[in-house]
Amino acid sequence: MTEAEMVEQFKGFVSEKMPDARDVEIGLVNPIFGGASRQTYSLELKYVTQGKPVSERVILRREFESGIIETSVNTEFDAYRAFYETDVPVPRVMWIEKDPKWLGTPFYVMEEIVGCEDKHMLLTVPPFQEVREKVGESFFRIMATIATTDPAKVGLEGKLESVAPEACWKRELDYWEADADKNEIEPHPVFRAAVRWLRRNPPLPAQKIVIVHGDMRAGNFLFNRKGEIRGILDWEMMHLGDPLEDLAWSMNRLWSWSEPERNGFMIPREQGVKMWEEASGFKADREALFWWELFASVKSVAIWVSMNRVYADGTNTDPIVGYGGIWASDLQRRIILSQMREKS
Amino acid sequence: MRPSGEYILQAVATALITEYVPAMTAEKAQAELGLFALLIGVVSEEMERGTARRVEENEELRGLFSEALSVVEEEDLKNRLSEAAQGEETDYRVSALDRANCDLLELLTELHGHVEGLEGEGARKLEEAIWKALENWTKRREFATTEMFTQMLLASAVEKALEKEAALADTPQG
Repeated sequence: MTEAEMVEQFKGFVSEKMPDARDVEIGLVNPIFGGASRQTYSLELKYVTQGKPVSERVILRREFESGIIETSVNTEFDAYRAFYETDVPVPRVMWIEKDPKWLGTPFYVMEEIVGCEDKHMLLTVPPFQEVREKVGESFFRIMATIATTDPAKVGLEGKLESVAPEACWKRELDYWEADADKNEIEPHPVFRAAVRWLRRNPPLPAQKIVIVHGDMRAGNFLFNRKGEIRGILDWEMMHLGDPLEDLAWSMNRLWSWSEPERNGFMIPREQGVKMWEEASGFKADREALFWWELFASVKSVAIWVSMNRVYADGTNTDPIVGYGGIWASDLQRRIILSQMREKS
Repeated sequence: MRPSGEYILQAVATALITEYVPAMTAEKAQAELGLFALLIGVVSEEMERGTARRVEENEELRGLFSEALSVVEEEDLKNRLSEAAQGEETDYRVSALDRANCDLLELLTELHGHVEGLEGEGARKLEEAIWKALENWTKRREFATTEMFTQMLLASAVEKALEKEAALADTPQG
């Protein structure tokens, strides 16, 4: 589907959703670069309602025909709806559409949060560098809030698969190892060594079963010059599990390759762990945290392996998929090797 | 071929990054062109080292399998290691070297798992030798473009952030 066709179809969709609106037009269309799990567009939605012209900036997130991670837009939509107007900042979602008749694949629409950045690399240079510690404090506070939110109180009860505290690690490891098995196009001996180590050295059971964002890291939130986090994004891997999973995922040095001792270029790693412990009331047992950090590398490799696979078999030839898979695989291999050498 | 394929690809990638990417106005097209340039850079690196790294690694792994014979206890694995250790390259096309390399790496993974379960000094020494081989495996797959890409991402993010701020300042609300 071309961009022009998509805009035309989307116009029809909006007109159906807002029967009272007249003169529906789609203004600026900016594809947002970088998404490997969804096609994302920033759009200007214009219409007239009750005689008044309205102009809104919205984000449209559409599933790829061939995605890297097998997730549905439902999970993201449920997450945004659950956390809207809570202490976890998220954009307001407007519509979800599962019928492929409009855009070929399911999609959802949400408000665009303007005046913010998502490129966390900006935290390494002025003027954002001056507020990076403040961003970090907010980040860990929000992560702790997600982990201490009762799923039932935000309408997520029954929407996420339950898991026993002692089974969290195995469910996640089984899933991502199977994902790599399915997609691997060349052997990854370091990845396999890490998986064996993880199975031989299971972590302590989860202190509590909590909501896990699943991709909680620098790069997946919107921040501004004042150091405020205005929106937590990319909830497609949300699930129930061990609270250490999100913390460890955020600590993957892939997200802060050039400053590996800072979590996501924000604050020193250990400082972040302490902030999270204080804000959540959970304890980050260092052995268990290492387990989840190594698991984060394994999950990450599985995702890059999937990227390499869809690019290699021609089902998704987006250059971010092609180069991103190569770039991230290279760095993650180096990280996983150093983690394993620390333990071997 | 002179100039070499590696040189030609590097020249194309450099021209794209220094001349054509900055001239693009559409954000997505600019970013994608930059990525195409980096993909060309990756291919260029592989063009130069592709055969060498596979030949070197295959030789290293066969040597490691020979060493492992005195430690490995499982008969079937020992036989397969022995057979693989005696292999040699007969076809130097990258695709053929790659097939041999993948087979050897599968066997290395199996050997590693087996040795982890063995007791004794010999097993520990072999395990250390395997880790050394895995360090080399990782190093041989590093790309110089990785660092370049990191810098490109930063430069592009700074530029876009400044543009966005300027645009906001120009609006009546700004």
